[in-house]
Amino acid sequence: MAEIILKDVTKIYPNGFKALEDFSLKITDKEFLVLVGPSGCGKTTILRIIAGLEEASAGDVIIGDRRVNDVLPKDRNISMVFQNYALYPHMNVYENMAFSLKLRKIGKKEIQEKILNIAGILEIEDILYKKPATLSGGQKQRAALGRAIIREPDIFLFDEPLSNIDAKLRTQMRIELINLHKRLGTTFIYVTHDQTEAMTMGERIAVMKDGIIQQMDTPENIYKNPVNIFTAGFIGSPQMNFIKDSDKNIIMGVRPEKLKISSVEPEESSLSLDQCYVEAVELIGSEKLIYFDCNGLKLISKVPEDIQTIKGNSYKLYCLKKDIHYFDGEKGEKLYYEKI
Amino acid sequence: MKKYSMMKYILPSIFGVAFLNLVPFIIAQKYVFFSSGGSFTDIFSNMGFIISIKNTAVFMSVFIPLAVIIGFVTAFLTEYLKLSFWVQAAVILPITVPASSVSGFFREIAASSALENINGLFIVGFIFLWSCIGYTYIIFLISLKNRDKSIEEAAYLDGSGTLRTIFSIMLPLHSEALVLAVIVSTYNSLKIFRMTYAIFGEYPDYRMFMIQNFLHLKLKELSLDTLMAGADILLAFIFILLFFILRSGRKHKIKMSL
Repeated sequence: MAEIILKDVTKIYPNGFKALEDFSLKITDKEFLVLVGPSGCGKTTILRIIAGLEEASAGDVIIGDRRVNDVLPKDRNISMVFQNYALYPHMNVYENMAFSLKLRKIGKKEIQEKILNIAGILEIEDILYKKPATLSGGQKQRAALGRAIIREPDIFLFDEPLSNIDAKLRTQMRIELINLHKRLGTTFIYVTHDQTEAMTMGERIAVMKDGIIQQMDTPENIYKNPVNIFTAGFIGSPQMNFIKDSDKNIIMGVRPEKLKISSVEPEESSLSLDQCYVEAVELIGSEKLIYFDCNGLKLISKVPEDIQTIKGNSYKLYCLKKDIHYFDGEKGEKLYYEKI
Repeated sequence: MKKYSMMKYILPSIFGVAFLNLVPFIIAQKYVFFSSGGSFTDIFSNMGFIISIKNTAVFMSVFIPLAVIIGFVTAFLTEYLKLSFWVQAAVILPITVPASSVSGFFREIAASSALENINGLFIVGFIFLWSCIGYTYIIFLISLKNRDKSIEEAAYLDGSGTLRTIFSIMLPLHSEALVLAVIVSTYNSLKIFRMTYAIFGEYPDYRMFMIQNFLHLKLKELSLDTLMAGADILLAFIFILLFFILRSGRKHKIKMSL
């Protein structure tokens, strides 16, 4: 049972910086939760407090049914995969993986069996006797994963583990981590600033800003129903278009794929913009991103790649009522259509 | 091209060292190898030399490791327990103090009745530690400041305690600093003669009579063949020591990258 509860946790660093204030979060057993947010939002601090590498200034950290604020990291049965892998440079991959087991006084033969088993799962048999300095980014990542897995922890913590590897490998590793979560059936907490990683990997996502969870829900719900302008802008690539209506003091948000180009406006459209000039076009495979300038308002439309536009020409854009998100002009909170 | 342009800065130093040290040293070898007496056989029957070499060996084997260990522990405490500025200053400042300016102070201490029964070598050792821990402290502190903290954190999460982390993870990672600290301490241990000369004069207690004292007396007596034989033995000893220190450092570096 590895349910994690953070209750009114505050973290103030010695220099006075308040990273978290009265922060509460509940992570259910065997969940894959992704903490996502911009740099400095406190997501890594949460991870480190759960691991015991940082002490909470106030509040309770509960793992399973025990309060662990005063429990040493080694006694929490948590594994962590670091952004820079943190492999022991003077040990080869085998020794890196064996280190925690030796500390637990597990026999040599059992250690060997476990390592070979995990190496088989991660396909790292051929690098077991190599030093970290000779490995590629992807191999280091797998070695770090192997070291984390071998201890059979209750909880896995991932601190932006894919940020140092190339895009192609990152996609592959994302899938492998999802599969690993299913195979191991333990709690995964994954920190990232990359919303694509968050959307593709998490069963639930917690979007954070300034030490506060802005929204915590499934990726789909966060994408479709962002509760405020920050979440709406942070989740989704390219980000949501925002159009300010100064008269009503509201901001309308439209996802790029919902912003259509047409000479004929459909009846149910509630937003139409004339004289939108094409500034740039980006082909991204089967789709295109078209950057418009509508009288100084910059908008992006995501359309199928067969839609033809000419740079510098003017077009008419529209959006259906149901696809518009309304936000309070001052507070940035979501407004429901019925109230407008 | 860049390599050669740098030479103009290095050459004056090379010439300086060659003319003031190397060439005179090589020329002076004639007193050892072309003199009528057997310099090396004579020197090993000289009681002063035997005592001095024994004291030097004991001094180096006790106080160089101590200087390295205390430097590491102080740097470790500074980094982890955030030692106050005054403690750090107390460790570092002695390296800036000239020997002559504090010789009176140490002479008084050494002459006090409380230290009457203490081996003179330990008094010299204390002075050595006082004056040279600052160097090893700075070396380890720089190394510790530049470390990847997540490696230690990974070890703690793996179940390693503080001592285990220091010996299994930290020390191997700071082996280059360790080698440098040993070299610097060895060098400083040879310089300690300046301090002991200023405090105890030409004829210190026999228990603190070291190889430099012996060489100094032989220079004064102009007993050049014995002096050069002693210098050769000292040089050979330093070369052997440096060879082993550097080899172990190099071996470790290769081990890290294979």
